[in-house]
Amino acid sequence: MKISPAIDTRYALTGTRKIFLQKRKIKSMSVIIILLIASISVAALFLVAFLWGVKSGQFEDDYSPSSRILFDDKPSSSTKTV
Amino acid sequence: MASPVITDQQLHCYHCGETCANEKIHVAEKIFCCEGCKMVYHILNQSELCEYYNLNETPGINQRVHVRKDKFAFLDDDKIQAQLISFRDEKQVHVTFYLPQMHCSSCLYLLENLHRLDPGVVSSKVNFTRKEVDIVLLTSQTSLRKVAETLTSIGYEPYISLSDLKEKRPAINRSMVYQLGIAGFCFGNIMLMSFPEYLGIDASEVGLRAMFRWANFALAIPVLLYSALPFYESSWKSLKHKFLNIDAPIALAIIVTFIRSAWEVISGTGGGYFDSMTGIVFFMLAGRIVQDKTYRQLSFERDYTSYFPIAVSVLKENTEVPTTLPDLKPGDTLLIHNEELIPADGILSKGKAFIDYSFVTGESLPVLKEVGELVYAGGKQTEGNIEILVVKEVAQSYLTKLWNRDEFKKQEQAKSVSFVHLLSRYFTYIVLTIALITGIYWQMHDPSRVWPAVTAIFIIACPCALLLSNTFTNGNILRILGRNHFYLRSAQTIEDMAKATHIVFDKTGTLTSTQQQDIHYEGTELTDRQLKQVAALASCSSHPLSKALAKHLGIPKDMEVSGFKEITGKGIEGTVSNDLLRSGSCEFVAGRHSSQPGTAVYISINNKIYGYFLFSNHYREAIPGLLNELKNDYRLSVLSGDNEAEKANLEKLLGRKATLLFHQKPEDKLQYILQLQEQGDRVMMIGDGLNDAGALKQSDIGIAVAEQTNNFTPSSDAIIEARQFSRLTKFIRLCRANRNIVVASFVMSIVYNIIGIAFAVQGNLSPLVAAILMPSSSLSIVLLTFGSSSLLARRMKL
Repeated sequence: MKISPAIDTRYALTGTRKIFLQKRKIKSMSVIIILLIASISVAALFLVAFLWGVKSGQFEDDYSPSSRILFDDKPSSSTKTV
Repeated sequence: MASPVITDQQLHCYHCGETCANEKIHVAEKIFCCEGCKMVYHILNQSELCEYYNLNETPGINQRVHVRKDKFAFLDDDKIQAQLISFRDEKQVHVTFYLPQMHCSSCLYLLENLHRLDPGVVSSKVNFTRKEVDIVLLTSQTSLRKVAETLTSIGYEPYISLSDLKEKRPAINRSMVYQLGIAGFCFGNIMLMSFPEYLGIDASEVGLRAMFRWANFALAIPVLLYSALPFYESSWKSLKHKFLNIDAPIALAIIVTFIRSAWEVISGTGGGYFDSMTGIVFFMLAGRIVQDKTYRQLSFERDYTSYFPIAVSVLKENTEVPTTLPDLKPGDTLLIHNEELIPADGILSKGKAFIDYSFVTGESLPVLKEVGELVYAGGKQTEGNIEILVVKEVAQSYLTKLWNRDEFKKQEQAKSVSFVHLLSRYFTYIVLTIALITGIYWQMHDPSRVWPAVTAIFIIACPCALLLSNTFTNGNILRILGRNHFYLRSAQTIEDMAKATHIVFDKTGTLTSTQQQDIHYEGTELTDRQLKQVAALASCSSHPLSKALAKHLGIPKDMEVSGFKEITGKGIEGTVSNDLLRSGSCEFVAGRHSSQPGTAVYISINNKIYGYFLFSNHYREAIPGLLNELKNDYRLSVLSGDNEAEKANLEKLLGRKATLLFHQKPEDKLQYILQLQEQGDRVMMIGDGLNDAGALKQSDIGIAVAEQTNNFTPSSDAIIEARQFSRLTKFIRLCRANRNIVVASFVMSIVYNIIGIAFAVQGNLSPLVAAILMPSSSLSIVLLTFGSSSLLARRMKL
């Protein structure tokens, strides 16, 4: 990536120090790009999950799933009283 | 749980929880009110489904009214089947049944275990909010009819009506939720990536800044092209009708913002206002969704087809042929079974009809018809089977004809235009003027600032705050009313409620209760013992009058009835503790025609006529108070299909000024509403029966009264539960407050706009100011509208 001349004029520093700083800028920039990509892809993942949930009708019936989970698959034989 | 459910020293049915007269019907220690309930228990017990009773106490549905064996014979008919099933191949069939009885988690449990009762069922999945069950069944092992009968046998009779014959209902539109999701995603990320722009980035990192700007640009595109679609559509529609609605300036603002921001990014002059743009779209979509929250379990669109069965039995050479209603022809003979609806006008040719017209008129007491008399469609036969010779097709019948009138065929045009749209129109004109003046000013002084200043005005002055305040207030008020069992069809209804000037009531079933009658006795005084005897006799009969009488007198436990006989349409007799009692029509008891105009049940003991019980309409408890409150603010009318017997009573309740009309046919009611509207009144009609349906539809706001929201109500703009009827004035007041709240928040948004415009006209609206002003004004307006409407509701104790 190209470094703008602004940096050179801004800092009145020795040659080695200048180079070190320039390298750090490049590094911080690429880190930001990685972070950006990571954060957007995580957000996109949630977006997809949300859209998927809407599509499969999860937000339409909020009563049955919560009660369904409480049912035992097989009622124990003790409930058979007669 | 093994012991019978006993509370208040009364016996309650283990299945349905109703009080039992005695302990006769029982299995082990469990008591049942009737054989039907016991039967269901048996079925469930055999299939080891008694978990049903553990999940909730007495979850069952009362089984006293028996469903006829062949009721679902029509489901064997291929043509009808094709209309009902959603998918079929060689092996299996998918079908969705509507089960209005569904009410608790026990129901859910039982219905999803349907495969244990019928091995042919592959799967059954309940949608609780819609009270529907999706069933997949194997055609080799079972049939649609068998499944329907199994469901009926456990108390969940599928409701299949004529409206199922019509086209399938459209799928639920979820696109707005998708649009909201996308807008939220883009808005959030754009906000995040705009931070460098807000805080001022180091001049050395231009590359980084450009990257953020382009990322924002990319994220704004889906919002522009997809999420904002509803606004474009609605404004395009309004422009086509040469009308400027609130969405038009909003669509304009969205597009202008995008173009200006895109230009800034491309030219590298700035970061644009993508954050504000996506934010507006997100908040406004959220507001729409809040406002459009519908009550999916309720239907506001019912016409007669939702009441009528899908098929009836036609007698052809002494065999019953299930026939769909559209195929009925004049001259067919229908066999109407007990508890079935009469679908077409006809002449009674066999049997004695005891027809309950409560669906139609709200009148709860059945009407007696003799052979040769004309019977109208919409009534329900209540005792025994009858035969009817069809004289008119279903669509031509007295009741259904109403729906074929031109008024009902027309697409419902926008009844009235919301004041919000009118406000927004002024708003748009003002904004356009300001933009024009600013443009001219800068053109003269500094032409380079014309473009930034004018676009900034459009961006900042979009009436989104008005729209937000409107949608969020409406949404909250709909929610508050819904919590109080008053369900409005849409947000526009709130305004219509507030604007009404004339309230028209139906009498029977609306002012009076269908559940109760006033009963008083006239004649020779009866002793306590005799009253008990009468009650014991009456409790043996299933006739509505007897049932009401038994309820009125209280069912005695220590009386034995022997030799009970019921003569359909006439009366009942039996020996109660050694006395012969007869009760019934005057003709039956006294052997002469009655001179009494109202409904009366005559009583004789040991052949001596004592007197009669007179049945009259029972006004709902809250009615006098309600009418008193409304009397001063509104013009009132009462339309009644009945005779003038109640005139004096009504005059007392409504005051002198009210209009009272009797002998009103459905058509007359509709005409009366039309007439009022021509005089410039805004009519609120409150009714309950099918005979009010025309008037309800014609009126500016039609409110249907329902004893239970699960019951069927005619098509209307609002449904109110009968118990909440007394609070109608409060509801109206809340709807009126709606307007004030919207106007108040509108004023607030104008203040924000003035601040924004002050920046904008100078041509230096920085993205930071826009980014702070937009979301904070939106949020504060949402808070204000929600807060004030909730506070108001709490003050009104709603």
